[in-house]
Order: sequence, then structure tokens, then C-alpha cells
Amino acid sequence: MKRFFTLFFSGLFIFAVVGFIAEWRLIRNYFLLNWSDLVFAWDDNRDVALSHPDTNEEYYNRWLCFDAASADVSYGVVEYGEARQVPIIDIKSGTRTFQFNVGPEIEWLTAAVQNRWRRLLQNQDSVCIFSVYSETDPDGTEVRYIRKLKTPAGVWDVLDKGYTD
Amino acid sequence: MEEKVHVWRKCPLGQRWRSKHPLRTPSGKIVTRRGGCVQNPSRMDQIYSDEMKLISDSKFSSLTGAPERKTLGFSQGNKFDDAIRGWCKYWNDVFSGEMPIDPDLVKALIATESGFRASIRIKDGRGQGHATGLMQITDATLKILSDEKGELINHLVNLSQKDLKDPSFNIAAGVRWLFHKRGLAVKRLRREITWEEAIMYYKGYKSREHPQMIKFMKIYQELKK
Repeated sequence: MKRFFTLFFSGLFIFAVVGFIAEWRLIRNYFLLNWSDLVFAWDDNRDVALSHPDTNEEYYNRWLCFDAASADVSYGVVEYGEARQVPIIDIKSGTRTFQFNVGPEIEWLTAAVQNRWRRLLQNQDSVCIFSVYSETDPDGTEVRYIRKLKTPAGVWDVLDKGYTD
Repeated sequence: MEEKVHVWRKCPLGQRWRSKHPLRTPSGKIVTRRGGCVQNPSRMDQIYSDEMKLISDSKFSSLTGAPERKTLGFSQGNKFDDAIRGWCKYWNDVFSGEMPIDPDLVKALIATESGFRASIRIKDGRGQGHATGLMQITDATLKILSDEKGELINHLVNLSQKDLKDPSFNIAAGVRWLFHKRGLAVKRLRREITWEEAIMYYKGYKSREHPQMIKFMKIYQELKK
């Protein structure tokens, strides 16, 4: 009986340690967030961030944190009245792929936004993005819209001046 | 049911409409992005060109009433009547507690500002960049209309320079700006003012005797005959 408990708890301990190490890579990025970021999210979540009235779907902004090295800043081209560039961040995290977009209805100064994002990401360990889910592409990419981006180097907010035409 | 700023709007107060649109991704794939109601981070009411287009395309043609279908001697003098009628109704409904604006007055203003030339863009006499379109919206005005931390406390209008050459968007922005100018004058003068006086502030004149104001009043009276 004693041997059984020893084995059981040893196994449990090893499982917990391995699990912790495995998860740590994902969890550690969340230590970038501080109390005011959580309060900001709490406050923001009083209202729906994105909804589809036809299907009654409602989504809220939430913080997602990643290894900064996994973030790839690029751009897409939207056809929104006219064709125009929009900055995009692609992130691969474990088995999941995310694409972070900005609203196409706004004329973004794409190069200025990309420069800011790249400066914030450069030589940093973690990045947290406050964003809302929009849809999942056929290839499994989770499409989200950015509200805020944070690294230890600073914060970018969609309301910041100087990034729109 | 959440409150809407106007029955014509697609989304509840504090959200804006985003139309379904294609996106070419960095890898070259073309994907379709869903439309939906998007929270305005400012929580203010903001209207963008795509929703303005939806409103004008679906609602304006069935409206009746002023402005008068007179050309006033301009080749395009009655081409924009639907947009004038529609946006005056929209903003009159939004600002329902205030004195309603007369669509004929907006038509007379357009006659004196641009002569009904929708894509006109000229240097602003007050050194504020350029003035664009039917209602001669200045670059400075365009910025204020969309500035979440600026003069307008609500009902922002988010348009680009290019959008201002679209007659409907220009009128929507111009009428919104007129309500703002009138509100400012009422606060400053501490009395109710007429829409004719508001036009004077819109045009930046200090007197009704200014030749441009006299011209404006003459056209307005012509519409009212």
C-alpha cells in the first residue's frame, strides 16, 4: 500500500513538474500584464467588442500573450471601397495560428504602424495583444482585431494619434 | 434591444458597422472577412462612409419634402436633393432636441459654397489647408469631425479626404458641422440663434451684410418662393 502511494504521488509530482515546464513557456508571457491592464480589460468588457446581429454572436476583447519572436509583422490588402494596405501581425503559438488585423474602415498609415510594432517587438521576450475574435479561416487561422499591443518596450493603442490618414 | 442613435443605423450606440470585405493576406491568399458591428474604443457614436452609403442607398430615395427641386440656374442644381433631404432628416432626428435644419437652407448653402460642383477642392482663405466638395469642408473641419478627444462630444463623422468628394458623404459631414457650429454659437452668445446666423458662422463671416451672405439669403428666398 505504502509503495502504491509512493509511486502514485511520485507520478503525480513528475506529471505536475512536466506540465508546469510545458505550460511555462506559454504562461510566462502573461506576466507582462499588470494590474492596470486587467482593470482596462475588465472595463472594456462591459461592452461587446464585435457582434454579428444576424446570428446573435457577440465577442469580447481579451488579452492573449505570446513569445515576441513568434510575431511576424506584415501587411494585407483590403478591398474596402478601394484597395488599400492594412498592417497585420501573424503569430504561430504551439499548434495555433493567429492573424491580428486592424479595422479596414480606417485609412491606416501602414508603414508607420508596422514601424511602431516592430520597434515594440524588437529584442523583447513577450508580447500581449488585446483583441477580439472575428472568425476562423478555412486553414484554421484565428482572425482577431487588435485594440492594444503591449511589450516591455511600450504600448500601441488603436486610439494613438499619428497612425491614420 | 440595445439603443440605436437612429433607426436607420445598423448597430447599437457606441458601435460602428464594418462591411464584409475581401483581404489579400501576406501569403497571397484572398479571404473574405465578415461584416459586423464593431465597438468604437471611444464609446462615442461614430459613423463611417460604408454605413453612410448603406443608409443613403436604402433610405433616401423614398423620402419626400424639401428641398425644392429648383436648379437655381446651376446645371447640377437639383442633382443632390435626395442626399440633402436624407441627411437633414438624419441629423434632425439625431439632434431632435434642437431646432431642425431646413433642407432648403442647406441647398442654398451648397449653391454659394461650391455651385453644386462635387469634386471642387480649393485653398481655404483662412489658411486651414483646403476646402473640399459641395459644402466646402476644410481639412481642419474633417479632423475635428473624427477626433475622439476633440471638440465634438458625440456623433463623430469619420471620413477621408477622398470621401469628401462624394456628394452624399460631404453633405452628411457638412450638416453635422452646421449643427456643431450652431451649438457653439448658442453657447457663446447665450441665446438661441437662427439657422441663418449659424450659416454665417459656418462661412466665417461676422455680418449678415457680407456680400456672400446677401447672395446666400437671396438664393434661400428663391427656394422658399
